[in-house]
Order: sequence, then C-alpha cells, then structure tokens
Amino acid sequence: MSVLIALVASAAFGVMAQDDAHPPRPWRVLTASEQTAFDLGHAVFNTQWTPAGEPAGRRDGLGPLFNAPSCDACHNSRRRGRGPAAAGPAPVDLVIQVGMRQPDGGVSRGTERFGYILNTSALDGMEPEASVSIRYKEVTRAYADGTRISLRSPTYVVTLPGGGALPAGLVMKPRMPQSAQGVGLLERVSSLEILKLASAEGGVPLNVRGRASMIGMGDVSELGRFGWQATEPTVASQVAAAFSREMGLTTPAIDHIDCGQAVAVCASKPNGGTPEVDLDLYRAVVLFEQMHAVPSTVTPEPTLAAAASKRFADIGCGACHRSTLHATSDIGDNLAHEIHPYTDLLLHYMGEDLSDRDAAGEVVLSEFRTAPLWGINASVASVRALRLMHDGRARSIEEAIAWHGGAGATSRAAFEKLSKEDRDTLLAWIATL
Amino acid sequence: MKRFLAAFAVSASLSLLSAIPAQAQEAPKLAAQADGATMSGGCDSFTWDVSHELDVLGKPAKSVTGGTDGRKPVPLDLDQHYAVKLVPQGTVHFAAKPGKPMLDDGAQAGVFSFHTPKAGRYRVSITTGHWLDVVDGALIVVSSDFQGQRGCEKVHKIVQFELSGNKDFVLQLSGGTQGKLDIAITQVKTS
Repeated sequence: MSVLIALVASAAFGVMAQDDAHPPRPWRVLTASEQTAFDLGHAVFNTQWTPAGEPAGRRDGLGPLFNAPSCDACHNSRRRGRGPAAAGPAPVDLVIQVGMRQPDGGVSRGTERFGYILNTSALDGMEPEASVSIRYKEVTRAYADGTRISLRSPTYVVTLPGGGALPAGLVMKPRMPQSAQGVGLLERVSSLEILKLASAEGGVPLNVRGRASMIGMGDVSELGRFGWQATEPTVASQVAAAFSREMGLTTPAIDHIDCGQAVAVCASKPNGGTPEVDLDLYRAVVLFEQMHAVPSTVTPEPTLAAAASKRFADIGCGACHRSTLHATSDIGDNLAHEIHPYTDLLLHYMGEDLSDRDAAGEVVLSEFRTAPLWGINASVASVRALRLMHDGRARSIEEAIAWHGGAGATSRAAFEKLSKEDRDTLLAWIATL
Repeated sequence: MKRFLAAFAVSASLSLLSAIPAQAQEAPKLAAQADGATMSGGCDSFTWDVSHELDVLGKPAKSVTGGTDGRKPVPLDLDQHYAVKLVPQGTVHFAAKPGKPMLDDGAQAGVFSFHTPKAGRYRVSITTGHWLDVVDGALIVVSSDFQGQRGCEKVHKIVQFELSGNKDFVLQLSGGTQGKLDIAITQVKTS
C-alpha cells in the first residue's frame, strides 16, 4: 500500500518511466505470485507459436490459418504496430477485419466465408484467405495561414487465391494493432463514468458526444471498451479474440479459430491441444496486459505543457480525448485514482474519409472509439516512423489531426486556425503524452 | 503540472538507458503465401539497401554449431555466410539474460562472438525468427532498428546495431524452435 502511494505520488497513476527496449513494468507493486504470472505472461506475449506438434509442448497449435505467430509480432514490445511504411504489400501487423452489409444498413461483425479477419498466412496444406496490398494517393490540405499538409489516402487491394471477385457487400476494415499498455487501467474505469459521458449529464456538447458500445450477450449487454470500435468488453476477451482470429489458437475462452467456411478443413488438421493456449498461460498473459503500465519516456517543459493542455481543451480536443478518467485500484483501498488516458472510451462518427468501405468502394459510415493518447510518447521516441489512426495512414500527429472529420471536424478546423507557433506547441505536447 | 515534474524525476533515473526500441520478432518461415512474393514482400521489399547482406548469404556457407557458454562463444567472421546448428536452450548459459523472454518449450539457442574492426552500424541477418541479442560484456546492446520479410528465401530478419570499434561482442540466439538457420554479420558501409 505504501509503495502504491509512493508511485502515485511520484508519477501519474499507471504511468511508469520506461522505454520498450527494457523489461515491462507493472503500474503497481505486484505480489510474488503476481510477479511470477506477470513474467510468464510476458514470455507468452513474446512467444512464437509453432504448428501442432512442432515441437509438441505448450507453444504449439499455431494456425492453420493465421496472421502472425506471436502477440509481439504485431504489438511490438507491447506498443502500437509499426504499420505500413509505404505502398505495397500490407505488413503483417495491418489486419483486415471483415463484415457484411446488412439490409438495415448496418454491418455484421465477421462473415460466413472468412470469419472475422482475412487470414493472410496458412500452414502447409491450406491456402491463406487473401493477400492484401495498399495504394496511397497523396492529397493536400491547406490551413488558414496558407500552410499546406500532405496526407496519404489509402486504397486496399484484396486478392483472393486463384483470383475471383470479392463477395458483394463485403466490408473491409483495415486495423492497426493498438498498444497493449495501460489497458488494465481502462478496464478499471467504471461503466457508469463512461455512460455518463455519453449522456446529457456528462455535459459534452451534442455534436461531439459519443455513443457507448453496448455488446449484446444474450439478455445482458456489456460495455465495449477495447479495439478500434470498442467491440470487446474486457482485456481477457480481447486477448482471446486475438489468439483465435489472428494466431489460430484456441483458449479457455474461445474454443475455435477464425476459419470461416474452411472450418471443417481446419478442424481436420492437427491441433496443439484443447485448448491450445493452456489456462495458466492464458491467465498469465491477460494479467500481464492488465498490469502493464503506460510508458513515460519524456517530460515536457511545465509551462509549455500547461499552455498546450489548455489549448487542447479550448479547441475541443478534450471533449473526446478526455484527459482524466478514474480507475479503481484492486489493493483494498477501493479508491478511484485519476488516470490520464485522453479517451472517453466512446464511439464517434469521424467522417467519410476515415470510414470503412465495401468491396465496391462504397463508404460504410463508421464510428471509432476515441483512441487513447497516453503512451504515444513511446512511439514518438522510437527511431521508427510513426504510423497513426486505425490503419496507420497518418505519418505524424499533425496528419492524424488533419484526418479528423465528423465529431472531430470542429476541433480540427480550430487547430488549423491556430498560429504555426501554437500548432507546433500543441503538437510537441501531445507527443509527450 | 505536478505530473510532469514528478515523471521527470522517475525517468531521470533511467536516463542512461537507451531510448531506442528493441527489435521485434517476426513470423517464422513456415507459412504458405496466398499470392507468392506479392503476399508479404520478397527480398526486394526491404526498405533498406540489403544487397550486401543478400550477396553474402548467397555465397557458400560455412557450417558451425552454436556455443553453449557465454564465456566461450563460437567466433564468427564478418561478411561470411554461416549455416548454424543450434542446441537445446536449456543447455545454454547465456552471457546475458535474453532481452525478450519466450516460453522455452522446444527452444533452440546458441552463443557466438564477432569482432568489430571499427565503430559503425552493423547488421545481423538470419533466416529464422529467433530472438537475437548482441551483448557487450554483460550488457545487452539495444538494437537501433530491424526489418523482417516473409517470402524472401535468403533472409528472414535483419537487426541493426550501432557498435563501437575494435571490440569483441557476443551474439546470442534464443527463443525459436528451429534448430538450423543461416547467419551473416555485416557492417553497413556509409558513403
């Protein structure tokens, strides 16, 4: 308890100084057994899974359809994915989720043919479901002061094995891996706090107010918090979905993999046990993600930070990228600690340009969960190119702002009217979050 | 405001540690591809100039077996293509704990050394997804960048390091389950 208070006093709750080249750190002191599980979870997160029986043991069962063989292959060092460097073959860490247009105008999650995700790799004896490449078209945007910014607008080319047309009504949702850091704290924000932000009681103007993602589970519904569209309610369900859909591994939570119409063929292949990810390994990797702190690698100059954060609020960014939420701790004090994730965990329509498209190229109006901005400092500090937004199209924080439409359009316009100095100050501060 | 001042105090204690990110593990070469080389990129889709690495890996390979003791690593020469046989990871005493732990079930590992004639940028190229660490004394040298490509027969993963000159470094391979792979260590020529 005293250690936790010390941590809270010495840094923002849940934020730990670290960079991703070094061992991950939990956001609170762990018990000995928790530390053992955390370390095991870290190992599971990094482990490259192997095909069934090669070698037999705890790490076999990959596929037969999959996208990547480890969590770390996409969430490199637990961070957001690297994303597409340039036009050409889509990198492993950019997945295409799929759905079908519905008669009521909605989009189903998943399809009979492909399941939830286009699996772009397969073990011998099976074919991947598709290959994906990206084309970019540079488009220019001009600010009030004449500053011009170039954006890359993506087009995704999905090729089926042996050719053939994509099913009519197929909706393709390109998605980058999100950071696995700090998710346990987002899980600890009460549903009531989030739902309040979606109601008139929250005081958020109607034109930018978000919508809670309610996920039906029989007669009950749960609040979705994770994924680009808040489609998963818990860290555990998100982890199980990733094992099933992107790595072809069954878990105690999901007893099948994402084979779509090839389900019988998949079932006929050797497996790595039932489930393939043992209960202790699954629990460990869930705990690892739940306890992983948000990295802090840089510290802004305080005066600059104060001015920039005020500007951030003044131009409306903070209406959705909420600076403060409250996470309950689990150490007996039952206190709701302030956290600063810069999200409201709600869905917002973000405009046509960011919306997904169907196989015919028609726009499917799409809502996205406000992306948490905390931890972005680690990506900026990396020597690797920054790739932001749900599909990695933005190469800088400024480009990411420029893509904001829909609920973000007013704030974007206000940002573009700022002086260059004010814009630069704001961008520099966001890069430290 | 308090947050930033306080956060600085914490990060200052780590200021000697590099902020450069570590390499990632990439997929092992076990997957069929939907569309040949266009699926995930062939040897021509690295964004670095890797012609020298591909050239070295295209030459005849010298066979070696990985060392089992970090104090007695097996020496490797620069610009030489090696066909390496690894040993069960449980039998290997590393010079430093591997930078990225994995479940060690079935893992194969090995310890090597190489000499840097002068300071500069060096690359380690391998044909599997094994985790690789370069170790200076007992400290892991943080990689400066990496690239990985599926669909390239000659190399699967290239990890880049900034190293000081006239020094011996240990190269550790760990985590992967493949017992055989090819390695080349090269210095990047700067113009």
